[in-house]
Amino acid sequence: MFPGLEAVVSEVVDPLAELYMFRLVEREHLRSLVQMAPTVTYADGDTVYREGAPADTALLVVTGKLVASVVPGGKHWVLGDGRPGDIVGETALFTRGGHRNATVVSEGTTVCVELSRKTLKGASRNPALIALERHMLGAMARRIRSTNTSLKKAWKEVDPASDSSGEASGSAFRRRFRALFGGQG
Amino acid sequence: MRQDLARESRRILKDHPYAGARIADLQQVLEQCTPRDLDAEGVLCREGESGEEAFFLLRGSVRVMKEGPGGKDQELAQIQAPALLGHMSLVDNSRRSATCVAASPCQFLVLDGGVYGTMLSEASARATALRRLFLSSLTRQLISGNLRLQSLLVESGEAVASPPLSGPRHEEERSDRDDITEDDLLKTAGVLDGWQVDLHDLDDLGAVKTKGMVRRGAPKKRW
Repeated sequence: MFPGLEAVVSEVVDPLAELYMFRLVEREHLRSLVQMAPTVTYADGDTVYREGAPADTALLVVTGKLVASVVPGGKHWVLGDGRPGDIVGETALFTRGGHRNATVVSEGTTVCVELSRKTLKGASRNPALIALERHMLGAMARRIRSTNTSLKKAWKEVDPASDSSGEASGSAFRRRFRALFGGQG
Repeated sequence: MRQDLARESRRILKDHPYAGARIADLQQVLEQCTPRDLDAEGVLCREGESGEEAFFLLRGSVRVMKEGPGGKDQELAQIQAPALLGHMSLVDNSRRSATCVAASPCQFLVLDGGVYGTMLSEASARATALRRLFLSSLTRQLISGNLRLQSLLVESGEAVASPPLSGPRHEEERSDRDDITEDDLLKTAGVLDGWQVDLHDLDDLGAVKTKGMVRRGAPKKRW
């Protein structure tokens, strides 16, 4: 290992070992994953991903915070943030030819581990990566369920009394929908 | 039998591709499954039930029915083999989000929740294959749901935000419609639940079809 690299690896492994998803993973496996996947550090305000740019990697947030936003029709719209233990842009790992559909910016100094398909291939039996895959399965399922729940909630919040022809309800739903998911109301 | 499973693995991976997928690894997953046949009109699972199995549909087609906000059952989709069904319930222990009825005589391989639970933490090629098959499928659900949400929001001449689901950018078709109907809601919920994922043009993004989503076969390219 290059001089100084050991210190960098330790700086990343320590906070990773604190994460719930890695509670059963031995430090040597985390160390091995970190040696294989590059550590990247972003300064406050750095653009991490730009909407529309090709997507082929994801980021595991180690420390700090990433904020995702879009600018529909000139209005800045924050979609969410990524904190330690969150994975940002993970769909890029399981599709090819995709693009970022939000801009991601670092808020303060943010340290991440960069994951790629190469990492998945090279570390497929590493218990740390297995824990990460389990975490991603749960995170994706939660995102799907929460979006679905929001859809149903939006529908239920539209006053059925306004729906005589279906059109009124549709327009009201569109407004509610946009309030939840962004866009011009 | 092993040859049959290798063939089925190849068909499933063609429809659910992911980087580094190996037929032999998925074949080992299928070897852990139990065959189940259903006659036409047989019920595979019912909406609201707890789900302790996932299903690989090998032959036949399945009608997916969901109760709408008005309490009336509506058909969300008709899914042709090969397909992966019911896996969301295994991933997050959720109840079945739809009722599945055989539209024709069907053959399934059933993955038990206990086997899934074991493979979730296993350091083996077969377990990796299963986890990544599920991750690939969920990714496609997210992207497909994203496209569907965007298509619902598009109005002629208006800019629309990307919903909070990551995925590929696409050139959206413009819609002249001004309303969103109950059917739209159900179809979108169905897409998110994985009942209608049509990303056969995924490698040619920029021209992903989002209208009238029906399963139309395998991706044009493998990767």
